[in-house]
Amino acid sequence: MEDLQPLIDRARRGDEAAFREIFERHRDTVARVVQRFLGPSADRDDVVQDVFVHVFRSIGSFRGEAKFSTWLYRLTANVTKMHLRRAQSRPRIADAAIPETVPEREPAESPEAILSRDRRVRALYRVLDRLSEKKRTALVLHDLEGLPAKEIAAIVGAPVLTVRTRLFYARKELYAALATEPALRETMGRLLEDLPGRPDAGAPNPHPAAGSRPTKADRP
Amino acid sequence: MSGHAPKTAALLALHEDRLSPAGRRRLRSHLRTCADCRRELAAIRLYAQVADEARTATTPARTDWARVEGAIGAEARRRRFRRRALGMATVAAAAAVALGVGLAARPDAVSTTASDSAAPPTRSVVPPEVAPEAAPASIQMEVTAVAGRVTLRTPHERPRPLAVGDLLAPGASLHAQADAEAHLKMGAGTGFVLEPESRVVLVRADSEQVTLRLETGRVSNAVDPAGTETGYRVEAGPYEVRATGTRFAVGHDGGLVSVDLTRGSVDVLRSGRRVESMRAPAGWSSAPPHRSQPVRQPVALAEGSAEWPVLRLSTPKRVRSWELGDQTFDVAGGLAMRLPEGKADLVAIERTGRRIDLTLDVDSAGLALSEAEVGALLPEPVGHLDPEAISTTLRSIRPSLQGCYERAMRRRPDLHGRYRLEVKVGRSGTVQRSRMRSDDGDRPPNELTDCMSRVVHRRPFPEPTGGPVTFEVPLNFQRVSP
Repeated sequence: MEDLQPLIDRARRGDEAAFREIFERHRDTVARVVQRFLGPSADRDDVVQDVFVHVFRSIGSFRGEAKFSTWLYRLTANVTKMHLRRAQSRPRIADAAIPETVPEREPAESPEAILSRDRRVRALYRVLDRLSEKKRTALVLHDLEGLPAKEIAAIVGAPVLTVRTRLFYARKELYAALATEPALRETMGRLLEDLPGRPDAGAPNPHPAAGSRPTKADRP
Repeated sequence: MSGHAPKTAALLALHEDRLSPAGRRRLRSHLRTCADCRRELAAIRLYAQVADEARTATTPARTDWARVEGAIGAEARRRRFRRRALGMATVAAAAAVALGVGLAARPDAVSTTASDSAAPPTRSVVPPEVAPEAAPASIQMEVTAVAGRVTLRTPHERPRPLAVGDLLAPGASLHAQADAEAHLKMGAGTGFVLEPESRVVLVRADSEQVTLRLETGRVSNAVDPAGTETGYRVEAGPYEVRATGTRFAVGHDGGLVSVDLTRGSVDVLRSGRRVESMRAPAGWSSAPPHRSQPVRQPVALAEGSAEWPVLRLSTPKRVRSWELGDQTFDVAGGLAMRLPEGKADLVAIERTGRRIDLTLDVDSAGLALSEAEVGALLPEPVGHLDPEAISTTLRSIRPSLQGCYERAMRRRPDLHGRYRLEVKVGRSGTVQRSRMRSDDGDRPPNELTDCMSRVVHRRPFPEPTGGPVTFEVPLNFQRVSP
């Protein structure tokens, strides 16, 4: 980002106004990425603050050899991972603070719909918690943040092929885990019903309930 | 049909509408009867839906500048304060000694981690003249190179292999096995190499103090004199080695502690009392005499090296070590390290001692080569076969070789001269190739070369070690006067 370099240079020399400008420009991106790593969490803003403390501390080492956004993504991912590691060693209260993730811009939705969606998102993050750090990073940056594999490779310092492999296996693990997640049973059942190539009308339903394997007698 | 592994890649392609019409028809037909694939496809759609919901559930940032300002303000003030303190100390006395005294006066704070270091959200501004009370800022310890197997243990995770890019916090311990080592960076110019068969615990790493506890083995340390205001110490048994602006190694083996110093100065303390003050070059041992050993330099300590790509090499068994620049990695397993983008010149040293120069292109995404890919880059290995074993086998076929000569003389009564029989023995000991040439350039008769070839191919040699072996057998054919 060319127009950012003078700002970075000023920040490196200790110009607080320049650092504030960097913060203002990237605050939303960092908050979004942190939330996509953490999911619904009351800790998000603490982690965002922590990211910018690390930016302040480390901006002197940024020489412009990589894109600032790549550097910032890497730093955000690392700080968030450290937070997750610490969080894993702490006792947890399951599904607390539901209102944290209720988006304010969709008032037309019913409270039930919002609650139900929030449960699904929390279920997704429960499953993400079971993935290895590397797979989770690849998956979050690619599937949730929408970054291409090449940029993720630069962020995590791995070959593109490795990132793609991590993505593939992360998704495979995720599919298996999501299919058995109790909070997603209803949605899973509906999606099974709606599949293309479903058995002809009149044939017995091979999947009486999502999450259970069809019996031999159920098959067409 | 059920019970087979779902075709995830094909189902993803169907979900993303990437299949040809014929492929789509075939898969849909399969889906009619395959419960596992139906379930997998439903899970793919479920994930797509929930991931979409997770994306839209992102709420706007609520962190405001005042909150961050409070956190970084404390950090900035702490830096200014420490610079002033260091400046005064430098004027007052020789730098190394002054810093050593300064360090001794510093209290040992509890280890901090990244988020612990951030000050609480506040709008208050502490005047610059007032000493800061915030906790010291944590220093990230990043792994820049791993050769062989190094195990990472932390209080919160199961033991696992250490990897390049890992960020370590205090409490982590590293164990390098034989033929293994790890390089860590704590800032521009500062880091350490955990040498083979060594174990170290990262006790503390923050802006005031870095402390390693060497339980056994050896660590080579580099401490940047300009880039840090941080004390650096290595504990080894009852001893403690304190340094700034220096390059040194500490060894700890069964209670014996040793120090090799190649640059700068260090103090060696025991129970807080200085027992030795060293200036480079120097060596010290808790039980003299001291035997000096080289001090290793950690890799990728340059500023911005965290952005460098990673080179990953799986090492074929025939390779004993890798050389990159002035670094030698004796590896059992893989080597991974950060290095600047561009051409990387390295040398593979085989177990036989042969050195093979390689140049690899490392782009911004890094480079990872499997064992087979590395093997393909190396020339055919050279093995070893005991000369006595070769002679024994040759002696056993000598009558047959003599017979070849006598038969050839029936057609060429004047056949004589010096020849060389080149024989290549494969890994299993069987002869893979043989050819014959004359010392004076004459082409040997076909019936002689064919016969010799048949004889050597029939008789196996002992199995060479390390790979195929090629040798020459000198043959001197002399006519016997009647």
